[in-house]
Amino acid sequence: MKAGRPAVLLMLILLLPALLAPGCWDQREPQDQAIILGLAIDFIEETALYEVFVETAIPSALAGAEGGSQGGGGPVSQVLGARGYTIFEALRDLEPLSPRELYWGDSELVIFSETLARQGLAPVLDFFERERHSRMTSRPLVARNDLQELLRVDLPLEDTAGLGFLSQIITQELSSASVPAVDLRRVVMMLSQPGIEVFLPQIRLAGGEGGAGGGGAGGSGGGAEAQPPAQVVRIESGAAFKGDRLAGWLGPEATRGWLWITGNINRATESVPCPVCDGFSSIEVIHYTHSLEAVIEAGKPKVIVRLNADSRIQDLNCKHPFAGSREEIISTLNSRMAEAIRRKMELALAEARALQSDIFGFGREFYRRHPRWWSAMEKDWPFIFQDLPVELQVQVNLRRIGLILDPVEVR
Amino acid sequence: MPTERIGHRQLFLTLFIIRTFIVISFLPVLTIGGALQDAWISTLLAAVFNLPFTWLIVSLGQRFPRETVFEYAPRLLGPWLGRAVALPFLWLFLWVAAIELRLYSEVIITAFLVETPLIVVVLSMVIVAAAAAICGVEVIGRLVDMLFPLFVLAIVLALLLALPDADFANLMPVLSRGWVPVLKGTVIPLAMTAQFVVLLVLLPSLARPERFTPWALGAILLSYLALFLTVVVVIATLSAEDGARSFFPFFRMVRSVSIGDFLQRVDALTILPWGLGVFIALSVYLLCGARGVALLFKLNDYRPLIPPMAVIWAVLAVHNFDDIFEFRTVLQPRYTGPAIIGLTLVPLMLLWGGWLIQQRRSRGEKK
Repeated sequence: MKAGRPAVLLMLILLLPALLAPGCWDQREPQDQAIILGLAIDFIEETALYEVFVETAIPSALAGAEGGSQGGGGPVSQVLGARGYTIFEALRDLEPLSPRELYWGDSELVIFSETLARQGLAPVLDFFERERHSRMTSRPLVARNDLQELLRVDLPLEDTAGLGFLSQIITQELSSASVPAVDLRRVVMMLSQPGIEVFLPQIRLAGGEGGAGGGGAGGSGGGAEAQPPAQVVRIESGAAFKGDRLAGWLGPEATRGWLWITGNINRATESVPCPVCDGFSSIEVIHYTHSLEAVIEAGKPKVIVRLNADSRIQDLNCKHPFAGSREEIISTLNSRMAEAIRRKMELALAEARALQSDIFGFGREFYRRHPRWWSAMEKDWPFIFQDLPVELQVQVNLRRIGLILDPVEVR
Repeated sequence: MPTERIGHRQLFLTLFIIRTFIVISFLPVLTIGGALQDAWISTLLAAVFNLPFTWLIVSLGQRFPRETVFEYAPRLLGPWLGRAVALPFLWLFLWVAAIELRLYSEVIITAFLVETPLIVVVLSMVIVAAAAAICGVEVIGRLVDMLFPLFVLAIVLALLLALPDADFANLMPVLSRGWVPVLKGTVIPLAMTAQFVVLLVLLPSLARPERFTPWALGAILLSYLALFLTVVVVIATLSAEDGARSFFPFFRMVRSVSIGDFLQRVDALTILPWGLGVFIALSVYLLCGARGVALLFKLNDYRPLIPPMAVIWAVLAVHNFDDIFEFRTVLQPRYTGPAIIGLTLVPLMLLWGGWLIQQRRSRGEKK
């Protein structure tokens, strides 16, 4: 006990600094920062400068908007832009424009302009890999529009454009099949591995003055008078690269084909003409097994893609009942569905070949399975890829037809 | 002096921790030697090569169950040669500790506390380690018992969280570049077995040193298992090419993990085992170093030596390397290989030679 008391005292003294410790050295208070929610990077060819746009938001304002109580007020976000020889310099040059310290550790989205993509992504990726705040989990997009315009877009359902795009990508990945799901980690991986090219989703402003297409875009435009027509952002189609440079675009159909070939699809619907009448039926694929095999037969390379999909009918717009020749109809629907998928795959192959970009990773498959053959043929791969036989074995099995059997019989 | 006792399990866990954290931190099998996706083969090979090396150290210690190397070396090889042979071991403790400490501080400064001076990180770690070393081997043993579950949990969790992003096809093709890079990858992990020289000081603290051989071999194999799993998961998530480009592949892998959209930023999972590992390793080296000096110079107590030695340690960790490039060259096989042979294998061989001669002599006397 006698020796105990000084020891306890000493411990108390040693614990004292702990009271001061929470105020740490490199502290940054979140409420004093402007959080970057969207990051977009452009390249200006004339001056060889990188231009960076960020959409910043004040955390407290965002929190208010989410709560709904103060939501109706002014804008919660601001778009800033600056230029520099490097990304980092440009980002640093943003600081004089901002009343608060910029924090890009939360940025989960990065948009590349088409010019930048054509110039090469490697310098940008280096920044992301080297910097301690940036995350390789950020999702990349390639924009077809002006970046500022894109970041300033007003999405009524979302607080800020950046957050809106992000949730749009995630929704796309999970529920439909229109874009390749990638993050920066995978981009760098594809760049450094042999025999595979980068394939990124495209973002485009549709409706309003933005895009050319926009078929199902601004439907509600006629309603209010004072409001500008609601802008719609399309995240579909893909950007095919060659090395770190953009080679060209794949259309929405071909992008779907890419997803089928590489087995990256989550769920997908195709419309298939009815074998009996001239109606259509939507068939959705939810579960499938997929394999991509690189074989060498008698010295010739060949790729075999196998897809075995379980599908269900989502709707039918024909009016005749199933009864009678049901099995026949089903088997016809199956083969037509398989044909529809195969057509998209072939379209993807054709478009990728036109761009000379092996976005499917066929080369990587050969490198993995036949490393000796690959090391001999790697130089000639671009030529081999052009007329590489690709066998598409697609099989569709219609398993379910929903809650009713036959369509309603209209009398 | 070695009246303090630690258990077999405690020494086993100590060996496991001081070895595992360092090989996992910079994954030498992947980042050095160019084995790329075959790094896991390097790991298995190194594990096999490592067993005899470990045995060489353990069983030398077991010939003298109640003495440290600093006591029997002068007796085996004569007072001067004996001391000359023991000195490299002291230098080894100092050098390895400085490298490990610097590696840890570098990652802290690169990734977390950018504006903090190096010396602050280094000193804070050295001070805690010195405190533990002054408390003695029993305290370190208990600390290890306490920290081991945390250490393992953090590593296992980090690997599990990376699994959803892992693509094991990245491990193919196997051995496409032949055996040479694979063999090169084994050099550094093998050289790191030099850490086990601490056994020559710590074995006498065991109740029954003669039974420790399976524990020591177990520690090394278990540590290789951890390295193996880490290498495989890192290659699967980052690809071999990108993993090999990183300074700290394990750290980078953990940083690029995201489970859904809510579980991210689990960086602490790498820094936690790392910090614990450096702490344990440093206190063990300090203790062994101070004991060695005390025994060589016939001092009664080693404890007063620890604070001044800690200062030397910190200074060496800061000033040994000017920048990260210089630091990298130290970890290259052509540099570390000879250094480890000089500092570990040569003294070990001399000691074994001395022991064999002594054996023969005593046998001759009996006849």
